[in-house]
Amino acid sequence: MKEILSVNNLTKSFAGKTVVNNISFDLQRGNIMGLLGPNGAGKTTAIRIIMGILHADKGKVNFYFNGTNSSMDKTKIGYLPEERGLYDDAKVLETLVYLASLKGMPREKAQKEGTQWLERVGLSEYANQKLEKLSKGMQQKVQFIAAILHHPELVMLDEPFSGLDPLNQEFIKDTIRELQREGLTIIISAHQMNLVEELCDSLVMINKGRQVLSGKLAEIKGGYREHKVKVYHSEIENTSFLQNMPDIVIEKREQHRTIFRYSGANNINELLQNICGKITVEEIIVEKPPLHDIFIQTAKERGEDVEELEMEQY
Amino acid sequence: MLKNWKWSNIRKVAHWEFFKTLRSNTFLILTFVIPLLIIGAGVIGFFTQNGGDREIVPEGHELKIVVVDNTDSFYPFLEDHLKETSLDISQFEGTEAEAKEEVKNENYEGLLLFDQQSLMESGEISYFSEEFQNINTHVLKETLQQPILEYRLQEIGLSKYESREAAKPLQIKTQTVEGHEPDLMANIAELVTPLALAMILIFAVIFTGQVLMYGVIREKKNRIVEILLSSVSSRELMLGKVIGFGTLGLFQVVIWATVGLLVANFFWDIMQFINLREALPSLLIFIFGYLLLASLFATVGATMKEAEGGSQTQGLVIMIPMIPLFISGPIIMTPDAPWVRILSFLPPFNPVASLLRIGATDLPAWEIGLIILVLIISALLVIYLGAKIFEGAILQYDRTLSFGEIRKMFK
Repeated sequence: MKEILSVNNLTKSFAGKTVVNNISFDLQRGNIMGLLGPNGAGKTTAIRIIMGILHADKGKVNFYFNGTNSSMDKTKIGYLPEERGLYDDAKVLETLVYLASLKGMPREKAQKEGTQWLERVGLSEYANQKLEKLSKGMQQKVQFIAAILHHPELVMLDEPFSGLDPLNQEFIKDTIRELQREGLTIIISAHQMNLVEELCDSLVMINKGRQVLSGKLAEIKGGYREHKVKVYHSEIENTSFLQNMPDIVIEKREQHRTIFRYSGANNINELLQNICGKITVEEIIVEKPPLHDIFIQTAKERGEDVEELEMEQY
Repeated sequence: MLKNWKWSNIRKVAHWEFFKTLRSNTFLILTFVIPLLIIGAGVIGFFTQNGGDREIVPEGHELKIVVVDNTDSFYPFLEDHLKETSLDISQFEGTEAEAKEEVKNENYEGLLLFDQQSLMESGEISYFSEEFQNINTHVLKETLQQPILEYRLQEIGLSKYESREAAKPLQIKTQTVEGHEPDLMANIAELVTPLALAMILIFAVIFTGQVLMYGVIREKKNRIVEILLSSVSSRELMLGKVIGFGTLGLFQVVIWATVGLLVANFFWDIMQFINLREALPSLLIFIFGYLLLASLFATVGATMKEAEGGSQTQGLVIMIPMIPLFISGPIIMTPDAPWVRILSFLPPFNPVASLLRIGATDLPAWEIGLIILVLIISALLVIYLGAKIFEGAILQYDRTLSFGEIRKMFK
């Protein structure tokens, strides 16, 4: 798989405060990459630098749209900024056509495909309405269309799920998957890691401007020794024996359910057999910990201040 | 500075701004209400200006004035000049008291009383009336001046012919040293066209400049600027906006000027003051001057958070280019003085100052060309600075930039 984007040692400071500190990653063509981190981690600044809206103090951004190192071509990139906004007093379809034409798309084509997209997201009846008449969620859908209408090769979606209800979040997720199937490369910046986790092939986690973790999602999760175990049982069962077992940290003990983390070197199957021998288990779920937990733990291991992280719990 | 500017992007931004604003209610109201005001002002101005004359000699109703001549010899002098006035003057055959009674009964609108003392000594002629607001004393004085002078001269011993010759009004004949008669209309036209353009320039900038500035503030405020800058450079965006709004402003001015000229020409013969050949350099200075001042507004908008803050600063920004208009007297009187020359090249005073200069004197072609070149360069420079501020202000959505912050952007 070929690279489409390579970011090397990106650094940016504002008023003496370093908000992006030595960030590096490569993005493979056709992949979805998550740029993850809490609010204020420096994700948006990094994206603005990649987009050419801000200039880095240090570091390099290289694009490989035609297979070779090429200068940034704004027509091949789609962008959904974190700060949402459109012309309130302009009509929906007109705005889409204008923004697509700035990306080099012929107006007639933009008109046709813009109409199709509006139908697809259920906004066709608003095509000739002013944007101020649309709800916030609807406006967000229009902005999403504006980011992808011109058939970019690379799309950057900065917090695409914020402010959306679960139904619309699912719609955006489905569309992102579809765009990937069509060959688009996508960067998703988000602080709601659970929403992005299922979409990403790779990720870069940043905290306070510094890169905490990066790589392929499967490798990161696979390399993480810890397992999260949820044991469902009847209320007469006593799971207190787990407290005395090595490498186990109990997270929650309820009448019907016990949740714990296991970080032992032994195969987890042995542990599960041991548990099943002691109590009658109704259901048992073993999973790698979610990205949120991996992020917190990695940040802690690096000695970073995790208490201040504004992580959205789920 | 121009190497990375994509003209197709600038054209698209300009096209969008032009048509989006063209369809807005504010623009439509402003564009079509102003011509209505021009028509109204024209009608009022016409009747006000001609009011005195018209009232004293309205159509189909000449002001009837009766004369009581106690000298028994003055009226024939007056009678000789009655064909030159629009007043309906006749001699009253009766006493002063009877004449006053006639005026009181509104059979006459006024009474003029002449006696030897007032004609030869005091020069104070009595006029009696019931409606003084109808009297244009200037017309009355003009009518009486000549016959009174002739009467006086005859009284001191000149013959009727001699007194008429001696009292002939003075006339000054102007001509060039080569003996050509000056074209007074052309002289007025040379001054009127640039002066009118200087005034229109200021008005156009006040109206469309603030729409442009608010547009920039709004784009920052509603965050769309970030989407735009992901497609075009800040310089392309600024120049596109200035050209779009500039064209719109000029389009608006053309509408206003057309209506204004039609209205003015309907009431007065204004076309004699318009010299299109002379107007061409003024028009070019107007267009590029507008570009410069509009860029200035867009740049100020880029530093602002709220339109309210914008309007206060706008007041200051608009005052600076207007300064030459406040001192237009000295500029017109001494158009080639060194300080006036400097002012006509110095942004942002140059558009108005050079328009005033061009009206007051004949500028050589090279100087007009240089003025236009300076205007273009200074407009591009202001756009460049505005773009730089715009770029730096992206993250400052919720506040107005301080001068310190703006200074840092250029370091």
